[in-house]
Amino acid sequence: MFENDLSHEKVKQIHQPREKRKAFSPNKRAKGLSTSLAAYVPSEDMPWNKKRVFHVMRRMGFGTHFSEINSLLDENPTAMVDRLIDDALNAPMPDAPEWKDEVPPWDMGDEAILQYFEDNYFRYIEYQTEWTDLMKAHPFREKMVLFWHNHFVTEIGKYEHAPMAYRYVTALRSHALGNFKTFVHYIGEEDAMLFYLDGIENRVGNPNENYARELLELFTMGIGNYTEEDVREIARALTGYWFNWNQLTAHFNTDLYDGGTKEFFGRKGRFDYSRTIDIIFEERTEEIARFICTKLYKYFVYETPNDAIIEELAQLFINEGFELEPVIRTLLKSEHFFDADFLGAMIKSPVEYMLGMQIETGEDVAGDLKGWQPYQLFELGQFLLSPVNVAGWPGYRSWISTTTLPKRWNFTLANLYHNDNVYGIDPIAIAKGMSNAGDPYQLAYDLAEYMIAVDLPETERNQLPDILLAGIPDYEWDINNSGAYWRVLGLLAHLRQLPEYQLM
Amino acid sequence: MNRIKGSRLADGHHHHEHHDLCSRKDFIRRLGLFTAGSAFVLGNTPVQALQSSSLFRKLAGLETNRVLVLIQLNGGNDGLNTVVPVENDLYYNYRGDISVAKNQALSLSDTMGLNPAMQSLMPLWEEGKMGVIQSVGYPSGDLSHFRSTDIWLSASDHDEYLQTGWLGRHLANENPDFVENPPNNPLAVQIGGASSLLFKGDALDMGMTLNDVGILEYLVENGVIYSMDDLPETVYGDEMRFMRIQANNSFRYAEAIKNAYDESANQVEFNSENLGRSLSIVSRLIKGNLGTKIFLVSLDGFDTHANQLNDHTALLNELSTAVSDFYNDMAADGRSEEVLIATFSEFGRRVISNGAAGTDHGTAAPLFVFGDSVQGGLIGEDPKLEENNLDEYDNLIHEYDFRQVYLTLLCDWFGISEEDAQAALGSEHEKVPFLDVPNTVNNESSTGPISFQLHQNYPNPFNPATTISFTLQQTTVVRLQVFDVQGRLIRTMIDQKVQAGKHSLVFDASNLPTGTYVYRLQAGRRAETKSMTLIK
Repeated sequence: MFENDLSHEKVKQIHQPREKRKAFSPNKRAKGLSTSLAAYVPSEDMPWNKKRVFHVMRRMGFGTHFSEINSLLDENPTAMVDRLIDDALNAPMPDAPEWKDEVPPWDMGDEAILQYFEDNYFRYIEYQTEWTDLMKAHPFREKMVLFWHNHFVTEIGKYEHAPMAYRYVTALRSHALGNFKTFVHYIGEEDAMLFYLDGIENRVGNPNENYARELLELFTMGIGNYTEEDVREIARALTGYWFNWNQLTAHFNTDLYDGGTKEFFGRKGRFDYSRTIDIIFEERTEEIARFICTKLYKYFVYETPNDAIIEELAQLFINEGFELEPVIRTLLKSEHFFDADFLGAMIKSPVEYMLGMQIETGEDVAGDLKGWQPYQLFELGQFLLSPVNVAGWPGYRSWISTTTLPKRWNFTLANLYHNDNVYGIDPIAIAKGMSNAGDPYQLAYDLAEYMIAVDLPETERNQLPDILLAGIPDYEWDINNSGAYWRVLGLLAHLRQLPEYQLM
Repeated sequence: MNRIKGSRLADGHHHHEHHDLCSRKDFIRRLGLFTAGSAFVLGNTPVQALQSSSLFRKLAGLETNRVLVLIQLNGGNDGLNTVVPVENDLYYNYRGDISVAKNQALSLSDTMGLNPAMQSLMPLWEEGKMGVIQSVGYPSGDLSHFRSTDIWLSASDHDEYLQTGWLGRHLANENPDFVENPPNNPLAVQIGGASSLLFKGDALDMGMTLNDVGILEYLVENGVIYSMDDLPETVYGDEMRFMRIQANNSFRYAEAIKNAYDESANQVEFNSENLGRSLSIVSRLIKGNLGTKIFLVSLDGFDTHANQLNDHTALLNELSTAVSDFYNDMAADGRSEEVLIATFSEFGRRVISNGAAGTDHGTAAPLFVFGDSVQGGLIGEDPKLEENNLDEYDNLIHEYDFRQVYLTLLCDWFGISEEDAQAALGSEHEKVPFLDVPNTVNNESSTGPISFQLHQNYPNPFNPATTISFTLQQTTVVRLQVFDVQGRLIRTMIDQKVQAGKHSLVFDASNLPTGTYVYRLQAGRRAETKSMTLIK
């Protein structure tokens, strides 16, 4: 029953290269078969209630603070989804870091160069922290940025340069809800991507197929829709880039570009980069649409795609000329997205887990402690800017193991019981934010509903008031008594350690 | 300038790894990752050999096998009706129809009698293994369950608010390497209720809490915490199944607890339904050498504001039966001297009964201690009921501060220095003389356990016979018995004086059904148990 301790290396081995990775075989159970992409209208069967409010807020963001519950319940659910998407579209771009144009001081001597890379290291660690802050400020947009980070993957471990990371993430953010085809055009000429997938090594007479292959396999249409010959020919069309090692930027140079005739997907011509991307979209329209819609579906709804829904979404995607926004709006406003089958059926990623805890308590992680967040995510298996390989974090059940689950439990307790309460968690305020903190039964049930995506089994639920009361008779419950503090904390800790808490 | 990209970026990469290493250590400290679990316990190393933890070695080596079992009587136990001042007319005046008659009470002294519901404790009393510390309380006793429970658990003053428990602080002090070397067995186990304040250290919960004895029963039966039943036939149900498997496999103490349980047996039948269920498992965990030093179990219902006689009688009967069964069960394996049992309750009850045949919240009350090391008898003066001896609310005035009892437990039972014990308690007190324990720091005394090794049987699994061997360091009386997993004695293979050296006995199971059997070797006060499997 007990595996040996999984070292980080072993954990990494689990995330094997994609071709070797065995796909999880999710169940074949009913999964929203009775619901369509029609807009969700609350009904007796599918009421608009707290569960669904939390569902939307967790899936489209990272959670809900209790102070928002009532106003969210008052909103029309589809109007709420529209609003969240509009917020994402209107959210201002974050200020550029002051170091965004800095390059290594190559002429200042080794010491200065070393110092630069030292600073550079901390810059991109801090940049990750700033990103998690942005996730809380603009949840849906950043949820999309995270999606694209795990789609158009680059790993900072290869390029090791904070300004490149900034440019890369900014590109993801700019296109997050834009046109997918435009996005593909852009990302292939992005510095970090050219560096990461060896575009800068791809030259006339000496092609490097790395980017061309991933463009087809991972970024657009998926395996099985192209031949090796297509890869080779497309690689030729994508030649011509070089890397300026002084500025750490990538550039196009016609001298490095293969201007000859290429033949792929049944087309033949002197295709350049831009024309090649267009042809890929022209010749593999349906495949691309299905591939991207499937990925969006898995990200927002459930791991096993529903073929009929995917088909309909894909057609919409095509009809809209690969505009992302209408597809996403349709999916997230659909009764399918609100289907009871999917409530609690998604496994929280480390980022969702960590930020979810922070949002739930309203805690303000500040100072030094905040600087450790990237490492915290590293421990849990999601070091931002550094997906495990070009296929991204496999996600889903790979997030949870006998190594990472106890770490999640540990973080939970550290968060709640840290020395001096550095996280600034106020259990009494949380309790008072529920419907009736004066009633220990109601309070226990409210907290469970607030934190757990589904109804707990009856036996589990019935224990909650006793756990809260911790030995005192119910009539003496008083939220203002000093002893309420650790009792509420104890219940929060209990709820967070339930297996149900890992789901959303 | 070397512009080969590899070396330059490798510099960066080197830094990356370097920072990674340094920072991860700091980071684990900084984040307070020394939490040790409340509802589960945690840590990222699955269960390994028990001896691998330096902490375990420390506990095992330094402290002997002493275990403290605390029984919390929730609600405020009525001390005057538990240990009754049978010669005091004031008691009968104040208590009227809910008093305990003198001729019913079990005599403890010329002046004090035990509630007759506690008859099953009398053998312990007569053997001098039961101590009654009278009138235990604290200054300015608080009459709120809420507050007074917290005061007893945290060992605070009446106007001091602590968020840590006295035993949590003690365990934290004693186990500074808890982070680096988390133990593979829980330091403390609580059955029932939420994660108690009692085991809470400054930043961590030192104990493991099981909300209900049913969870513990499920755990020892199945080796896991979460049932795979009752999952809905939905995609959510599928993900929950996955999650529960992971949770079960991650629960680091499961294997140690199950092993301890499987390698032990109850020798007596536990008669009580409630407390007895918990204590029967506690007994097996101790006998199975789980290594946990503190257990907390509780009994609810002592808040007897009305119709006290029936309820209180039933509770005292439950308490007494469970304690007696537990003691006898430990004694049957020669392990009673490892255990000290102590009761506590947040307060006693009002001297004068109320109008509803019950009693309201009070202050001081007696506290029981049981064990071979206990100095049997009544400790302290009988409760003083005269009006000028009561406080302004007509409640008893305590003679002993409850922290004096705690101090004595820490020093005389666990062998902690008085200075360390005061530090854990956070205040200075004097010990109460209720224990008579040989000084046991680095327990190498001549009264220490007899040294022997019980070897694994061979072959195993077997059919129909197997050989059981043991090695004795000195000539002594040994008893080797075989039990089935229900704890029923199957055969006594040897019960006599045996010479030092290695001995082998053949166990023939021709007439027994397939199954797991447990064999136990007892020599002097020490016993060891192993299991074997018969497959036909």
